[in-house]
Amino acid sequence: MTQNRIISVPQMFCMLLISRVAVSMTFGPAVMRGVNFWDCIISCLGAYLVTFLLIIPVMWLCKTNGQEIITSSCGALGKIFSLIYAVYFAFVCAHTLALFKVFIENVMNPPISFMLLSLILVALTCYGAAKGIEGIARASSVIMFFIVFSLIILGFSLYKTTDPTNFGPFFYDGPHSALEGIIFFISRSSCIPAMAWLIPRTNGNVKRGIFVWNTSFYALMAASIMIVVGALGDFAQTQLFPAYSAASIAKMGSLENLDALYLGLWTASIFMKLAMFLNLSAECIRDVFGQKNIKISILIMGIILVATNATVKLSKLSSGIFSTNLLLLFTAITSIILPFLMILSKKIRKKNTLAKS
Amino acid sequence: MFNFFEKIINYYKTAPKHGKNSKQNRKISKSLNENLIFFKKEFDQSADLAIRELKICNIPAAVITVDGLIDKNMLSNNVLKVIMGEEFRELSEKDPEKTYEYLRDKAIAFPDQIEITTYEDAIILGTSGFALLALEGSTRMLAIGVQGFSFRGIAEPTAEASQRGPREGFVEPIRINITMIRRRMRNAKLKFEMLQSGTTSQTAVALCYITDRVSSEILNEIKNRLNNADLATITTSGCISAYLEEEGDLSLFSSVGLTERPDTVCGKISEGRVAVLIDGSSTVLIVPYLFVENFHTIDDYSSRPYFATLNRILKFLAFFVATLLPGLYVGLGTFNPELFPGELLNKIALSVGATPFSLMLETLTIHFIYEIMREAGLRLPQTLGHAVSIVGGLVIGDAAINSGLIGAPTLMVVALTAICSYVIPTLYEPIAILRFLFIIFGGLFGTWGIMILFSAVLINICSKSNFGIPFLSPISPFGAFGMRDTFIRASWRTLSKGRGNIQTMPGAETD
Repeated sequence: MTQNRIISVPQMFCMLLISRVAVSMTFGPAVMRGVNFWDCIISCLGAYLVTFLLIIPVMWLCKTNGQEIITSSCGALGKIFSLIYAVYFAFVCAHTLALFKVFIENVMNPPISFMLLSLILVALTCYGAAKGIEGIARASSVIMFFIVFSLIILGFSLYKTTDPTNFGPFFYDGPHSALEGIIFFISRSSCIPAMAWLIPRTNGNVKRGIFVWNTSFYALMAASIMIVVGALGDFAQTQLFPAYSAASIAKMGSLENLDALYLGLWTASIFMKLAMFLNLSAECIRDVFGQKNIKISILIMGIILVATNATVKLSKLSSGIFSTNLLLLFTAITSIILPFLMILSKKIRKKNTLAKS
Repeated sequence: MFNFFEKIINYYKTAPKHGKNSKQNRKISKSLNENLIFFKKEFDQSADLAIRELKICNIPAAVITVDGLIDKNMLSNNVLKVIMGEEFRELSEKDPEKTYEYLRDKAIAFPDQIEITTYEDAIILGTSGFALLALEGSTRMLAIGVQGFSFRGIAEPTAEASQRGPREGFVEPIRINITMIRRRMRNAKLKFEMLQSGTTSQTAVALCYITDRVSSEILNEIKNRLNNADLATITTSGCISAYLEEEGDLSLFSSVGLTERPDTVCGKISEGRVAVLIDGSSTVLIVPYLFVENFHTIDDYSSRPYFATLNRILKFLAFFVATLLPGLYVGLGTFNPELFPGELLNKIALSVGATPFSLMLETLTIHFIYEIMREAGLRLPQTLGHAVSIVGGLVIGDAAINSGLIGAPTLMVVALTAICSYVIPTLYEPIAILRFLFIIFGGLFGTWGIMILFSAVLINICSKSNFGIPFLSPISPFGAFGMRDTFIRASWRTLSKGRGNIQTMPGAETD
């Protein structure tokens, strides 16, 4: 089963960058098991290098499969793999929505029902997902422009408030924080399994795209940490969402409280991320059950997402759905183990076919 | 319950389609009497059917016309006088076929002369202003082009006024519109292809394109869609426009362009597009059409590039203001008032505190009133329309603020939005609907609601394509070449370099 190459490499990486930015904008000491926020700059460098290593199995798999769906050469086993990917992508959606819930309920606390808001969000992301990956990719590149533009504004407005004395020495509490940071970043690398499903539908130089994507993401993260720590100092350590707190003190001319800009960007990024992962999840389900219409799968996934979100209790930010270990395990399975198994399965099948002939 | 829906679906699936009935080709009879009876029966003795019976070389003949569509002077001077003259009285030919040929080749000298053999063609040409000459004993009829009917004179289109461009706009008769395009494009590659659409109205539709610029795939797809159009009567260009959109496209935005200007049509077809002219409509359809083309006007190409670029940027800003401003005002005012600068916040808070309604309800109400007044102003005679504007703008607006029903900042936002929406008149319809949606989403969910809806609309526009050309091209998929005439308008020296055909747009799936 082959797929049409319908999106370009820059579009795919815009989409993936946005989906990482959506989650990364919310990271902070509370979510990261109390690590030293300043040491996360070192974590960025470490995670940057590890990400390149993690991509190798997926790239290898995509190279051997060409334009085919990655699980298509594994027979019945492939259906199980597709199902695991579907669950993983749905889990990523649930995790993103849960983060959104924490943010809305703990930071903003607006006089609206989150249930209603999440219902609208999921309903419209289902619509976006049903429109296809092409539309999501194109929309992501437009959103990307706004994100870059807004981040420049936020960066410049916060630059004035930066105090160099806030930058302490690295490894003040030992290397633990930096290592925790690397694990945290890697556990949130849901883009790598997503790439396995997106690369067969992408036109262009993927290797160069990966380099640009990974470099720009971690450069953006390092710059954000630097600005947030420079602007907030130790205060960042006590904040649930330090990036938001920094944005709320940003000023530009007569414009104050630029957190509206941050909120807008973050919501749009979450929308794009949910739409992309819902689409991928539905694609996996379609592969398992051989449906013709993807819309039914998306609708089912949407209902599951709303139901999960309504039932999940968000008591702690570093356990349950937010547990780094759980996410890391899931990411490792889908990024390393499954691609290796699929490559192995393909090689064995090829060997058997040759032996028979 | 389900049976009921099933019945409805089955009804629509099995309902006879207007456009797909087979066209009968009934041959013209040798008997003149039979032919005349056919016409009288088909037209059911309609008042405008005129049959003039006469004899040519003692052979019974008839001239069939539809009153009001022909130039009577031309018919009597150039046709009737000739065939009833001395020359024919002396002609000894008795064979009807030979007489017909003599008439066709020697006697009647008309550039627009068509030989017809079927009743269907006879009806179409007769109702198009041709005079039909029928002879006893001949199975052929001669359709003579003596069209002459009054029509609205060529004038500047009011909806697409231009400061420096030509002042000509399309009129209703298709032939005049064809002439207007041909006069501007003296090129043998310019082709007009006539089609007929609408089973009841049999409206003439012309496809206009440049043969070496147009994509054959796009052209075939257009013909295919027009031939499959399930239409009985075509009264406006809007009837056909719906069939030129992608099937199942429920987007608020249209990917079919509309224009009343022949110069715009010439510009578009030279980029590989196809113009669809419809008889009886002064609006010409252009396909494929891109989202960014809504921001182009003919004056952009007459002005210096700097001013044209400024205008483009203003139009894009106006689009965002017209769509998002009321929603943002309501969303921020309700959920994040701290984002307004202090002085402005004070004024808004005072005005909201003094009015009985919530910000969302207030903004929605004023928008509804504005839309009602706009509609009333459009439908009324111009003089009364001014009165409505005065009553609406001064009396209602002023009185509503003074009585404390609505706040001045809200009225200001609505007024600004209304003005901005007229900067891009082709996008007025989607803007009006989206504005209401953004107000509701802003009022219910604040900034999150606005951004969620914005993202959904963005995906809707981005996923839309028509004839294989992405609607948002060259913004996304991005194309640097197309950017020279998108947000900026490059100089003519730059624009004239290279061919910017529509099928070369980034993401296009056609050759």
